[in-house]
Amino acid sequence: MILKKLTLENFRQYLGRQEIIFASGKQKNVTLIHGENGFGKTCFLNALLWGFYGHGGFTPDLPKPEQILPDSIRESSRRPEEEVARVSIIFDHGGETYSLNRTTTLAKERASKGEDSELELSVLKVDGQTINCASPREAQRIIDSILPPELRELLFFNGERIDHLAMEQNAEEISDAVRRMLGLKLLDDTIADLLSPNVRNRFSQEWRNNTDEETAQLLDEEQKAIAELATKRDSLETCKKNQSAVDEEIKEIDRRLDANREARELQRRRVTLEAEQTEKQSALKEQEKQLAELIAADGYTLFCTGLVREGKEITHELRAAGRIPARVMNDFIQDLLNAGKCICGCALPEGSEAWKSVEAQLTKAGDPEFNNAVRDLDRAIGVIESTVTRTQEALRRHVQDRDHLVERLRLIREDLDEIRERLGSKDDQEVHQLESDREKKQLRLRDLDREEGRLNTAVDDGELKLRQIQESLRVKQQKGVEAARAKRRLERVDEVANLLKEILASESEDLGKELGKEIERVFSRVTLQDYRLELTPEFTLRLSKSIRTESGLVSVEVAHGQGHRQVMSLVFISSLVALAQRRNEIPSIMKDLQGGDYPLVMDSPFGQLGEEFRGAIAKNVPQLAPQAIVLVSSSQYRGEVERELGSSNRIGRRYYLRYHAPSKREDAAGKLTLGGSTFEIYKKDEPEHTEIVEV
Amino acid sequence: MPSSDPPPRQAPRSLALFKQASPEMQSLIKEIMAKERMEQHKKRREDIYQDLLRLIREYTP
Repeated sequence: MILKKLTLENFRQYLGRQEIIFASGKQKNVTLIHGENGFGKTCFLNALLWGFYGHGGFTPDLPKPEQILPDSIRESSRRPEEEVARVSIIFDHGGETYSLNRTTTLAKERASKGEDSELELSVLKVDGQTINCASPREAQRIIDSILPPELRELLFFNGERIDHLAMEQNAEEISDAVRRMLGLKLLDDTIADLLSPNVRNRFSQEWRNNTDEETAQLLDEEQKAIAELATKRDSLETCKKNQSAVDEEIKEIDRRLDANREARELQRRRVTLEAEQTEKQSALKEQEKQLAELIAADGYTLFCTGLVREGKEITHELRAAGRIPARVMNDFIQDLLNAGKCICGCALPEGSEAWKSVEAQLTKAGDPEFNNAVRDLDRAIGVIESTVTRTQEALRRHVQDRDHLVERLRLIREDLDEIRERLGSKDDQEVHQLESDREKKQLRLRDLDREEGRLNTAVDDGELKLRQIQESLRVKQQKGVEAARAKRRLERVDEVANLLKEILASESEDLGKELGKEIERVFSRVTLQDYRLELTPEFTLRLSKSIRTESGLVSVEVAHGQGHRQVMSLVFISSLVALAQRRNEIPSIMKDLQGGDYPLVMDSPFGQLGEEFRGAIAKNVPQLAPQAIVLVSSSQYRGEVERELGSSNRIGRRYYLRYHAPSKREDAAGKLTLGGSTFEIYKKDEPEHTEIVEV
Repeated sequence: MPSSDPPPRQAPRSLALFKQASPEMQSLIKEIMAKERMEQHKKRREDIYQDLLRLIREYTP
């Protein structure tokens, strides 16, 4: 979707009819709208949202969402049914041009608290034909399919409020957005629908109604096991959410300790140590896994030394006796006797002295099978001997490495205990309190970890129980036609759902990896090199930095403030938009997944950004999405932002918001200076309203 | 690139999984997905349940 034009008519503070044409070129894809605080930037963003989704689309920060028409009309109108507010949007999508109109009247606004509106949509097809949607419902369905409401927050946002996307407790929101934008939600929904009581249980019930008592009982048990498993999975999910929440609380405490001069040094040392601890713990886990694999594969050889010795003695004796290697094979002697002729050319008549002499060799010559067996034994002894040496060496190395890790972990634990004690005994009241809270939360986290372990086992048990019941059902022979058919249908539902689950898991994993790469790529463009932003398998964003420690470089998660989170969220959204754009290039079983061109409409994207990010983000705004509409105040459009965006040669259209009012707000500027030109952004006038002016 | 980490565009594992299924199964899944796609934005889920029940019955007479 590429936005072409927006027309506002009596929408809140935009009095009368005003229009704005958006930059939509491939090169010049940025529309810049300058507006001081309170001049109508948020209202502008909400005009687009109202157009697409009606009242339900408004952002939570819009004041008085029940008021659609301007105050001046509301206060003076005598014919409320004739006072119309309208938002018209023209946009291109999939080669077609869509034109939507959403209208309401003052009468409707009053009757419905602003919730009631009319939507019309027409589509100009590629062949030049125009189609009008038959009903507002159909129109809304089409809009929702082009621009799913769940993506609203990601594509139309207030930059100062998007930092929540980078918080761990919002991983679900991120995961939902990813799934929706990349088309995975369709697979999620299909699986849920198939396994819902409305589909699966219907076939289960049909089978139950037509079968014997024993099978019916098994079907009841299956239903019960499914319900129990769902409850256990829910509990596990809740436990994980609680873990994330407590983890985030600890991180918040860490941020506050980091901000406290008294605690900063120790806190930073703790963060580094904890990162090293995590790394070493996973290295230890890996070490133990490898050790287990080594023992499982080659450990038996360590118990074979006696057998190897015995084998060697046997072959040694055979060699000493001249039995192996045999110089002549007895089948060769037999051939000579059968032919009646020696290799020297002498005849060997049967029964002759010569014949008897050759025949006597049969007892001395080797049996090829015996010879082969001894050779195999020889080889096996060699293999086992070298494996024993290799295994002993590997075992020694693993144990040594493990001991090192265990020792390092012990030292880290001691250091961490010491830091905890030193911070806990600080005179500073805040540090003391924060440390005490931190300790409580860590204990809570440990409880939750134990709880998670318990629930994981419960889920595993539940799954096993369900599998056993389903296996018993699978082998049940059904005599009646009805029962057999219902059984086959139930199995079919499970078969389809299971295959879709596998497909979903594989698509999620592949797309997660692609998104992760995209995030790292975009982030490297907008930030300093020693930072790294990753998408974890749980779809949380992790900002880290490499720090040198006693045992080498360790990646340390950075305690991030609102500014960092805002950058992380922007990078996440931009990466998602980029991936969605080339979604159709990624093979999928879901046909007709269109590569989605999505615009980004950003209100104050530079709001809370630290100085180190402002320039880089400004420079990259044109590349964040196929189309970018940016609303900025003059306090945000300064310094590096002005320099980078102004010189980007990507701004296709530029507007400013002029505020008409009887008196200027004290904190608002009256003039806007852009590239050496000055514009009047305040006009003494009545009634109060905002005017859109093209630069 | 190690074989354990194939880029999705080169090794679409999901497509491979799908193609391992019987032609009948593939056809059923295609029809189910098409229905789900059509009904995706409708508020009434009852329609899609009916479609799924019908499709499973048709493919499993």
